[in-house]
Amino acid sequence: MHFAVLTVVAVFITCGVYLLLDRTLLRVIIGLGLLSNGVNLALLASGGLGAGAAPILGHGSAAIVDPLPQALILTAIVIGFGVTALMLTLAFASYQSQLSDDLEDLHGRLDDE
Amino acid sequence: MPAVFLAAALPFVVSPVLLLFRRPDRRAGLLSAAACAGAFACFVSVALGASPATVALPWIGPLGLSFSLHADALALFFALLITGVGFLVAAFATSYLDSNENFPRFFSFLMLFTGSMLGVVLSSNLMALFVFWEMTSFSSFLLIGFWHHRERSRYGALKALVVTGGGGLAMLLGFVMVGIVCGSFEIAVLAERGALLAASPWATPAVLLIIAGVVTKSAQLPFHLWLPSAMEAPTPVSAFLHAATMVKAGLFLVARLGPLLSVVPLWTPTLALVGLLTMTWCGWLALRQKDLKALLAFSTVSQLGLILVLLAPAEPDTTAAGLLHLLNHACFKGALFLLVGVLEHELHTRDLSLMGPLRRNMPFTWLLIALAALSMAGVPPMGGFVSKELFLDHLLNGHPLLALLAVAGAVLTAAYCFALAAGLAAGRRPDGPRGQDPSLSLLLPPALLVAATIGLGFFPDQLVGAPMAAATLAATGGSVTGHFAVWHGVGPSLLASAFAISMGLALWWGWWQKRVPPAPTLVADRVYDHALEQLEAWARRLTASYMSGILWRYCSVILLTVIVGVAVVVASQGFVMQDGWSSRHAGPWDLAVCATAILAAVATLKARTRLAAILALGASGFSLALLFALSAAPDLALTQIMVETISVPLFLAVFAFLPPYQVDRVRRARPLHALLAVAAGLGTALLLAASRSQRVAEPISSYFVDKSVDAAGGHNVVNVILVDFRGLDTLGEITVLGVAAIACYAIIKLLSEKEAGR
Repeated sequence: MHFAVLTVVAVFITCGVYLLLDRTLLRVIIGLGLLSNGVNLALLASGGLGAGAAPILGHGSAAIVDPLPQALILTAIVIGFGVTALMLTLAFASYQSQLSDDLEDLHGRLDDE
Repeated sequence: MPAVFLAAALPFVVSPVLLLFRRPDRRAGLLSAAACAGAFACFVSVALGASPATVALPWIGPLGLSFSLHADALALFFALLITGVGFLVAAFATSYLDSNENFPRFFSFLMLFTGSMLGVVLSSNLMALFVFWEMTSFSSFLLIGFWHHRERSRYGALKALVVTGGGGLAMLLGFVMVGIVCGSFEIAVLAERGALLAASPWATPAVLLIIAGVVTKSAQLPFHLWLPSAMEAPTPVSAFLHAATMVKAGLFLVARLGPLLSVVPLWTPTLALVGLLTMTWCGWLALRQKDLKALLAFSTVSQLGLILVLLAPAEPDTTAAGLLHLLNHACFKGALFLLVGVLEHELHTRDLSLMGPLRRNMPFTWLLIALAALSMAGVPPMGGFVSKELFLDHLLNGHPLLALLAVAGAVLTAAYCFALAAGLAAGRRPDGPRGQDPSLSLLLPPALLVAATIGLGFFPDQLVGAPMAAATLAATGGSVTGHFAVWHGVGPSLLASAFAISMGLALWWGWWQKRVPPAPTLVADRVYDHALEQLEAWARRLTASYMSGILWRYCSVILLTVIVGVAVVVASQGFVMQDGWSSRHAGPWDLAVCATAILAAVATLKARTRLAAILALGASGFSLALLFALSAAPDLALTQIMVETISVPLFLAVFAFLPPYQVDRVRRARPLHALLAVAAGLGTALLLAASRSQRVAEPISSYFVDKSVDAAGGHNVVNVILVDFRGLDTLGEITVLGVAAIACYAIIKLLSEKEAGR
């Protein structure tokens, strides 16, 4: 299982970083989303991906999976959502005032004003 | 703690209290004067009484540093000087400053300085001394820039800070070298380990760095530039910091560390030469000033050079002479600054060439100026004569060239002193502004200082013979052989004195009187200005070179740094790729979801339309949710589904407001980006794969599982961790979300208001 998951992590992060380096603002935001998905999956993998029940006690004596990465990921998912929402708002505002979503084109505009 | 250190802490206690006063409250000044007087009285009683007090507080244990203070005779001599002059200056400033000045702030800074300066002289640990040393630079910066609305004040304050602060840092480096070579930062311990230092190859650089600290602080060549600019400070500050105390911190350090550092052959000759050159050259510069404060500033630098020459050999007789002249200088120069302050206050100018005759209009002020100037000129029977005799005596026994320099310096000193005293008497302009003698409260402080320097002329040995001998003993460990006297009999030094005074008279009468001397511009000033300009220009260019303002460049640099950093560590440590995984077997569902996720991620890259890209991102998120569900993480799956369900519409909502989706914008660096992306992705996966076999500690997860029911009363361990064990983290998370929400709302609201206003 871990081989498959690590492959997904690698692909997510590769695609995410590539998009992050783009000139188009929306692609940067998509890249950021992809990157955080990849990192969340990496956190899950760091828990071992072993067989086991969900970390909810009181359902017999079956082994449960590591709960700690899950708690961390939960926080990360929510924060990631906040970041995405803010980035989208900024993209919207930036296009409304500058009429461009090209980061290289936007570069230096505020200095000129 | 001995009372002497509590007395030294008094200014630090008073400093913040003063800020509580209202702005035009002159009582702030009275309180400061009282604090100085109290500390002074305490120092007197200690000086008359018991053996030296010592205290050592633990400071930074692992470095073997203790915050230790030691009140020996040398420290007490300086402490008395600081608090004595401090008292007079505070009393003077109380009635000198205009009633609309910010009294609390002025006196608070002044007390901060007084406390720091007392700290410098009482410290018996090099690091403690350094801290106080830099605090004096800092409080001097605040005081020079007290009238911060004036550009010249800010310039002078910054210059003083750059020069003395920079010198202080060099000195710190020297201290560290000395401390490491000798194995201690305690001055008392160091004094016995001179041999260790002398044998070390670090001795020369250490001594040079400490000399850098001394010459910057005491404004010696070529760092004399900051003192004239510091004259933008209110005059009481000039009298206190830049004549009587702070500029003498460098001299104090020479007296304090001389016995240790003079084992290095470089120490004494370097300091003596610098002092002598400074004395002569700055005497010449002083003679050419029209601005009275500038004249006094250059004269101060010149006199400090004289004292440095005396202290440099670290021998008992010269040290005693140096300390005596230091005391004399504090008296006559402090008085002169205060009196020039009075003139500026009365005549509204400091320009010597614009002043009317003073002898008639301001007889007392003029008389005090003349007496102080005569003392500085070394005219018998003033105090300045006694110590200048000793100086000439010392130099006439040395190299003839040095003796010649010393006599030249004395001639120049006499010349500008006569220019000061006599020039003011008649005035350059009969029709110039005429003032009146000020009230007694302004005349009494300088009058006391002048009385002191006259007293030192008549009864030098009776007044300060014993304390000087004690201070010299504390500084050098040796006893003074001679004693101070105004009359030594006819000898070479008396002849040299007579020659200097008569040549000074001739120079003043024959040259200075005839023409208004041109005020020179300092070469050092131009170098400083140019260096600062260049530094700023370079800094701007350097910043512009990496602050491109282009996102992908920043991200590339960050990624490249991380990737190279990790690669270097991996290459040097070796990469252990043992299989530490005991993951479950991947079922057909697992594989299908993973494949979907990979396809979705690649699709975000390839999507030609915005809608397709957003949907692809959504697909990757939902497949992640499925993967969570398959990995026994129901909470994650639920949260992920919820977030994706909101995110995709959010993207689509912004959709309508964005321009056509551009996939193929020209990028020169595209191959580099692909390389970085692959390196980041592959590197993360590889590190993760290796990480399982590299556990160095037991995971703490079992603790949470064990305590979940007992301690927190919850069965869902993930929930318990979030809301209980790591509840503060979750609070932070909620705060972040809240701030993001407010920011989104504010941005949109601002934008729509802007639209409406258009």
